[in-house]
Amino acid sequence: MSIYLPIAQMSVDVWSLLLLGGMTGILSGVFGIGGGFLMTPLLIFLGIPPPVAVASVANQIIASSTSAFHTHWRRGNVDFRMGVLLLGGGIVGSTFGVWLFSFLKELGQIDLVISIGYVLFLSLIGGSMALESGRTILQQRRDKHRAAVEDAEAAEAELTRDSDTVAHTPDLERGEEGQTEAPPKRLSPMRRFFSHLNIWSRLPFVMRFPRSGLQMSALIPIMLSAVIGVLVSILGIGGGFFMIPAMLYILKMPASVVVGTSLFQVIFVTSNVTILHALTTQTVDVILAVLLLLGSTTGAQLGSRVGLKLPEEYLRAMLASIVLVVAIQLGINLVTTPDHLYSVTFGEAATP
Amino acid sequence: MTIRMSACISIPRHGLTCSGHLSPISLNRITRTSRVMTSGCAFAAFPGHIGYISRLSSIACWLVRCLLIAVIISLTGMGRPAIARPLVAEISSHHITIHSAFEGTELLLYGVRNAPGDMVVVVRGPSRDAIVRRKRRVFGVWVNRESETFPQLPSFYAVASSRRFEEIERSVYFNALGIGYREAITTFHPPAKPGRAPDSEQRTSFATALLADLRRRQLYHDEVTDITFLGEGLFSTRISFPDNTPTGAYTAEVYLFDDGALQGVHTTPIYVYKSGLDSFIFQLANNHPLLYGAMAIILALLGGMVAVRLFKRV
Repeated sequence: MSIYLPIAQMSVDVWSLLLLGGMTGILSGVFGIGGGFLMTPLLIFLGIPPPVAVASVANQIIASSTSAFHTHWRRGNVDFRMGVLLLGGGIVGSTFGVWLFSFLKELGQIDLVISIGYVLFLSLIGGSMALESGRTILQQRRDKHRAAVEDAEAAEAELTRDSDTVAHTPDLERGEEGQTEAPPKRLSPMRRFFSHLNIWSRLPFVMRFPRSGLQMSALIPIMLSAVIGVLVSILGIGGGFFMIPAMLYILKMPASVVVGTSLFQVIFVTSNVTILHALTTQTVDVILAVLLLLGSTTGAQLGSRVGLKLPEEYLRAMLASIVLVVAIQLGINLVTTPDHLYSVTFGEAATP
Repeated sequence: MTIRMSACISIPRHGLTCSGHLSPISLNRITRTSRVMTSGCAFAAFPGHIGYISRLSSIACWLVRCLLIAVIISLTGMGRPAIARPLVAEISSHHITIHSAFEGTELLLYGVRNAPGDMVVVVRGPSRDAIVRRKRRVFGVWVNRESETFPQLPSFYAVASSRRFEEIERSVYFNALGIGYREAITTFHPPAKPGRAPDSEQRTSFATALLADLRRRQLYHDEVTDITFLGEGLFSTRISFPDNTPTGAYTAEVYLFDDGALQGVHTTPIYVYKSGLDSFIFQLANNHPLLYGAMAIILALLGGMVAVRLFKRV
C-alpha cells in the first residue's frame, strides 16, 4: 500500500515508513534516545529528498519527545531552570544552524558537511560510550571476585573533589565517606579532558540550580546548548544524542534529571527548527511526520518494556556498537568512489 | 466550408495548431506564446469534469469530422495534401490530479495525420534551473568541485516518434525546439556569465550525467515511445507519468516533419495538480508557511499527548 507525500512530491510504501518509525522507536525506547540520527539517513536511503527528511524528522521528534517528556515530568525529573537556559542557547544556535545549512546548500557542500559531522561526532560519542561501558562491565566482573565496591566509590569521590571546574555540591548517592586516594587512570579520557578546563569556574552570572544541586555560571549551559543547536539543525536530529553526554560530563548534572531536562529542551529546539524549515525551505511534510510518529510511538512502548529487563551497562555497550557501525559506514562512504560522481539540484520552479 | 492554404494559425478549444512553412525562430515564438498562454489560463480554463462517456463521444465526433473532411476533399476534387490541416491531435485528458493514492498514470494522445512525413510527440513539464556538480577526491574524501548550470530545463520530458527516432532526418528545428532528450537539455541559452567561454567538453559530460540522473528519477523517459497507426492517418501513442510527476502546466507538442522540413505542429496543454488534502497541505505550506509550521508543531504536540493517553490505558 503506498501513499503520496504532498511535500516530498512522491509516493512511498506506508508499511516501510511504519516499520522504519517502529524500529527507531524501539531503539529510543530501549536506549532512551531520540533515534533521529538513524531515522534521517534511513529516510534518505528510501529515496526521500534529504531536506524533506531532515525537516520532517524534526517535526516528528517534537511528538516523540512530548510523550517521553510527559513521563519524566510526572516523576519530577526535570530541572526547569537549567532547561530554560539550555533552551535559550539552543534556539540561538539552531537559528544560526538553519542559516548555515542554507548557505552550505547553496555552495553545494551540505552533504559533505553532514557526512563528516556525523562521522566525527558519532565516532567520538560511540567511542567514549564503548570505553565507559566496557570499563564498567569489566569492573563489575572484577568486583564480583573482590567484592570491593568502595573502590569504585572512591574513584567517583576523587573525581568530584579533583575536578574543581564548577562549584559542585556533592550528590547524595556519591556520599562523603569514600575520600581515599584513587589512581587517576580510572578516569575516562573525556572526564579528564573537561576537568582541566578551569576557565569555566571564573565566568560571571553564577546561578543556583536547586533541582540538579549545582551552582555554575549561566553562560556555560547557554554556550553549550548554542553549539549543540548548530549541530542539531545541520545534522537534522533532536540533539538529545549530544545533549545527554554533555549534561552528564560537562555540566555534571545528576543522571536522574538529565533525560527529562534534555527532552524539555529538545521539544522547543525542534519546534524552532520545524518553523524555520517551514518558512525558509518549505520542506516539512506533515503526512510523512504523522506516519513516522505512528510507528515510533508504538515502537517506543515496546522498546521501553524490553529496556527495563536489560542491565544498563549492556544497553550502553549495544548502543555504542550501533553508533560506531553507523559512523564507520558513513566514513566508508566518504572515501570510497561513489556510484554517481555527479549530483543534481533543482532551483525554484521558473514562473513563465 | 472554408479551407485556408496559406500559413494559418488557429486556436481551437484546447490548444494551438499551425501549418504551412514557418521559420524556426517564429515557431519557437509560437510555442513559447502557447506555453505562456497555457500557464496563464492554467486554472481558469478547466472545462469541468467531462465524463467518460462524453469523452468517448467526443473521440467519435472527431473521427466523424475527420472522415467528413476527407470525403468532402475527395468529392470536390481539391485533393491537394496541404489543404486540410496537416495535423490534428487530441489527448485523452488535459488534467492529471495527484491524490493520496497516486502511483503514476498514463494518457493517450491520438489524432489524424493528413500529410506524409515523420511524426514526433514531445511532452514537457514546467521548466526550472538545474545545477550539476561533479565530485573529486580531495585528501581521500570525495568533495563536490566543478558545477554547471542548466537554465530552464523541462522538469519532465517524454518523446514518441512514428519512426525510429535516430532515422528521422535532423534539421535546425530539433535543436531550436528542443526535440529529443539530449536536445531538451542542451537547448541554446545565453551564458550566465558574459565573457566566460563555455567549456564545451565539460558541458557535454555534465549534460550526459544530468540526463542519466533525470532518467534515474523517472522524470525523463528512458526511450522514445512508438507512435502507432491504426489506419488511414489515424495515430495514437501512450505517455506515462511517474508517481513523482512535478505539478504545473505541461505541453504535449505534435510535430510533423517531411525531409527535415516542418510541415505541421499541434500543441495541447496538460495540467498536473494536487487534489483534496494533499492540495490543501501543499497550498498551505507554500502560501502560509508560518501557519503551516505552527500547525505541524501543534499536530506533533497533540500526537505526543495522544500517545501518552493511549498507551497508559493499555
